[in-house]
Amino acid sequence: MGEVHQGEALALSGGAGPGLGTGAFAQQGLGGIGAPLQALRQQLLGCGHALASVLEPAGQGLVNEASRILEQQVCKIAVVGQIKSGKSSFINALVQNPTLLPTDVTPWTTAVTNLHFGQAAPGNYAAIFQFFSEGEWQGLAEGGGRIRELTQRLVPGFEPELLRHHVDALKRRAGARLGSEYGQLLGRAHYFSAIQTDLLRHYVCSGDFSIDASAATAGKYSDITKTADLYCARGPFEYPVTVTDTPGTNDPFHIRDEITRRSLEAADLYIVVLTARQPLSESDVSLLRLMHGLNRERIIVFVNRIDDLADVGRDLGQVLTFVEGKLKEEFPGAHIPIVAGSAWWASSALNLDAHALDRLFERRSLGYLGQMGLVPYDELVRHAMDYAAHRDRFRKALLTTSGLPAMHRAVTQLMGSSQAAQCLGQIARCFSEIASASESATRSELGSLTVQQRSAATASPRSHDQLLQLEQEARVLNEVGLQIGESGRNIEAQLADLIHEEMSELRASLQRAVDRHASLERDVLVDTLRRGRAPKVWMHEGVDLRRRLAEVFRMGFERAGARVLDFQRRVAPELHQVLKLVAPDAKLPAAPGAQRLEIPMPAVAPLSRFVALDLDGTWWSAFLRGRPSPSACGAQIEALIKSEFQTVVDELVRSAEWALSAYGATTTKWSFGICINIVQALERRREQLARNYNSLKGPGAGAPAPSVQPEQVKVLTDRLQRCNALNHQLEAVTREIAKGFAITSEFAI
Amino acid sequence: MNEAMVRLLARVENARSQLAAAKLPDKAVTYCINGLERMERVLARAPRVAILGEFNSGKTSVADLLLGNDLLPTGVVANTHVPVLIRYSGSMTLFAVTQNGRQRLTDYGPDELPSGLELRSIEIGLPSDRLLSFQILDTPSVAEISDVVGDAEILIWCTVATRAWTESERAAWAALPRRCWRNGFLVATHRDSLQDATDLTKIEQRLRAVTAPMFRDVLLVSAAGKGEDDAQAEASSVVGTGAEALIAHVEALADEITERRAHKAEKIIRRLARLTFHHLAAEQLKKEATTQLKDWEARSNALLDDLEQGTASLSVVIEKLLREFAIAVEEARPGSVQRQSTSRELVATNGNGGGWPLRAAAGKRFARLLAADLTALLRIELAHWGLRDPAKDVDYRMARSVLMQLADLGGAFDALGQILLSGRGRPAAPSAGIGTNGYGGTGLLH
Repeated sequence: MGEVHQGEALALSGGAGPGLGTGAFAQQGLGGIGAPLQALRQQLLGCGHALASVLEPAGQGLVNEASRILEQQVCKIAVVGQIKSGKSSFINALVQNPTLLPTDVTPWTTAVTNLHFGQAAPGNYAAIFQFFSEGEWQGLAEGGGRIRELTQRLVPGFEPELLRHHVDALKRRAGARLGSEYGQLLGRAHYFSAIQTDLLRHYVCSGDFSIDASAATAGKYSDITKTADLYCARGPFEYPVTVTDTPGTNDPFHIRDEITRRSLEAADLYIVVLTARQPLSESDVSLLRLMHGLNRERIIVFVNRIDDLADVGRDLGQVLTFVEGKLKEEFPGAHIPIVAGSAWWASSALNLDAHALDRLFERRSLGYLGQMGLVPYDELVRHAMDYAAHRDRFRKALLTTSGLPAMHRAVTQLMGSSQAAQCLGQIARCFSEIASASESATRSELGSLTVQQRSAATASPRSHDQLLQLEQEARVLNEVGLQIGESGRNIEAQLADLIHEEMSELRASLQRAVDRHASLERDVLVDTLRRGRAPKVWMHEGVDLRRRLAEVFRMGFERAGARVLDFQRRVAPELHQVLKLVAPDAKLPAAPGAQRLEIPMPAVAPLSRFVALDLDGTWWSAFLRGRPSPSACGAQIEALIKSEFQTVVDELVRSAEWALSAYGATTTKWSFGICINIVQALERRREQLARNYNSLKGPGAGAPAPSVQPEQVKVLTDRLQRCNALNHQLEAVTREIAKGFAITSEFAI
Repeated sequence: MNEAMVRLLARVENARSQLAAAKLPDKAVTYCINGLERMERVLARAPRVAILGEFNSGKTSVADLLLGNDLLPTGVVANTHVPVLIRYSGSMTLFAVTQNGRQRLTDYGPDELPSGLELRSIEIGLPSDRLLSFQILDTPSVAEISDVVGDAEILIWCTVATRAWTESERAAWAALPRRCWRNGFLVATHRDSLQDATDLTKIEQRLRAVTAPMFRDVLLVSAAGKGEDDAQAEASSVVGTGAEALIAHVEALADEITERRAHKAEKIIRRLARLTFHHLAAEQLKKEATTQLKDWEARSNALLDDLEQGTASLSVVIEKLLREFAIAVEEARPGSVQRQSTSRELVATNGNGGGWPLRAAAGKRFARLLAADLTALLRIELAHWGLRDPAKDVDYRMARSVLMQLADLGGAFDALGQILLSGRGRPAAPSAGIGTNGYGGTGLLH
């Protein structure tokens, strides 16, 4: 049972420590989070190991590289939500360590905090706190960051009062807390080899608002801390996971928004934390839109704080119906699991002392445990907790209703269709291709050995003739090798041309969408102004344009992807042709399947970029005031939309280009790798033969060819068996991975 | 409702009923009666407290707290997405406001509403004394705030204590006019969700720090709405619900607003009465009387022109106006002027008229107003014999005295007399200048 006390050092990478076991949930019959994926990864690593032993150097290189990628795989989970929705508390409950991240009743988390589980820490440090660089700090402290930059673009010289207020407060506080020290800290980092409970409070907490800042230790470095990286033992995770805690959105003190946003782009899955009392407000929906843009279908919604509801049994159903309905309306067709619970209940269950019990029984919401039939009503009183058996039943019930076990299941399931799983699937496919190519090469080698054996038994051919034939074959082999190299270079160039062409097309269609939108907005604005009803506040509606751009992007990318695949499909037969010259029976890498687009779509994160046009009403009135005529306003808006979205378009095209090139390069590399592996196998075999014959060329010319060594046959037979077994195993793994993607099961709440 | 307002209302109502009882065939009086009626309605309405906030921020619970007891029928409130106005009424009433107007719902219990109504808002009348001090407007979170705040004098922004003051809340509130900030309270609800007193202080400190200067005050309350259980009620009774403080704050502000309104209303009523007085009986005089009045008007206009041209000083013009007036009145009703010589002397001794407005424009307005007042006085004097329907003379005299009282003209003339008699120089607040209120603006009225 995990109980961490104040001041006790937490367990670090290397040793399983208190509070970081899977004990609590294992009692509920659960494995660690991501266990199925981890099992698959282990199997794949084993396959890779076995595979390397049956391959030629070229194939070994490929397999080892893939194994390295496998070993470094980490699933990144970002926890996002509005301020005070209980993200840090939720993470503490999720990782079963109630005091890991500091929490408070006021908005508290200021820095992006990465918790790395089951990963090697750089330099064996347990905690690394990165401070802002000089430039970043100047940007924040002198200008208010990106918001300021954007307002300047919209209304040059317009000094936003609120922003100045915040920026002044920030500078004053940093100065008061750190004195003259802080200039030297910028651009540097603090390293710790152990995590004390209080340590984090110095770096990632905002600290108190009005008490004497210089006297308090909480939040001492928080103003200049950019990110915190903590390295923990495996925790409840089977699969290596990085959990990212983020400062809340919808914070009036929002100059750090851009930093937070950037840290989110890389996550594999997102947990959006809502509160039961105010579930899915407008701000939550806009956050979800951003997440959805970042990474489709890999969102889990956690409705936290159901303990706030007066009558959970009655109200929770309504809350969930509301959330579900709203999600359906906003994201039709998306599968977003919803889990409801209470991080507080989970943490209390993990640390069920007298104080926790007192607090729990102050709330009526606890009656839910009775309503659910988990605890008899007569046991649901404070004094019943004096009995160990009652307390135990109560603890289990509390854990169940806390939603955390359900959350573990949901995370595990979603990990099965995450980027990590996708990567495993790709590697499994490559492994099976190379394994089956190797299998057929071995088979043909074995076949020719058998023929040789048989012919040696009947008539003994003259070694001289065989020598000539061998020299001939060596020439062909050499030629084929050259040809493969040549066509590889050609293919790369052609692929680059193709991608370039497609990307210009994509850019053009995105541009068209922006231009159309810009002229439409111009007309609307001019029309409104002309009709004399000058809008007191006019705001640009960016949602439509973003939706349209996402659609255009999706279509463009899919078309480009299809062309890349098509191209590769045409390349494969060409390669086969060449290889047939040297190995008529070899089973060759199959052309990429036509049924499913296998190129993973890059995230459309650039769409969530906050541009000047997204600023709220007050900026717009200032903007409109400065223009003499409606048409001038219109022209200005049109130009502004075009220029603001230029960056977005550029970034989108760049990400598409990168995804396609990377995919093309990888698959081409594998196709060629497999061919070269076959060529190398043939070379090795012929060299072996040549050596055999050479030994006979001199003195014993004309003597019968040497008989086939039985050990050689045995080695090959053995290799064939191993390849065969590997192929079966890889098939099973691939099936298993595919299952993860197919699951759209119900989530228990 | 405070005493000053009660007195004012009684005065206005009394004056109006007197004017109405006379049944004068006079357009000006009819306008005045209508105006006073409207005024009464406005004054009788207690200041409105609009409760705003995001979805589920505890708005209805705050309305409950303000109302005390469990008077609010929850069914109606919880199941609608329209504004609910709660005001005083002798007995429980329920009105549905649709696009076709206001419709009293008699056949329905307070906890149910007829379906199929395209509701715009709901009005509930309750016999709660607290509603005499302020009305309550509970708003749905989807409402356009700017539509709601127009009619509300006091604003309460509800925010959940455990997640108080987010950017979206700030943006919504910041868009409101400053008037709303001055009369706005930030109320953090669900205070009972907080674990202890330290948390309470922390939240309050944060809210005060981040919301200054956008609110009049910040308060934390436990929204112990319906369905909260005994355990919670007990817990909240320990720290208190904060309801008393909230009510006290709102009542104090409502009182202040009522007082301000009474003050402002008095001014408007004075102006209305005076305007009516100026037009009283204007179309009811016989031809001869009209001629006589026109003579006076010609003379007084000539004097005003002198002042306009700068050929005569204000004190001289006033002195001459009064003299001309005395002559005209004497002509209209011999024997009514007794102290004409005294006032002339006093005006004369007053030198350059130190008691009058100093600025030229203000002086001119003052003189014009005086002339208009005198014209009206003269008209009633002429009515004594010049009225087309002599039987109405008594009623007109009554109307005149009612209007003069409402307009505080008696006071104005007394003050004028005081200046003339004492020669004490400047009025109490010369810098105030002369407002549209005439003598009032000089401080003469007080």
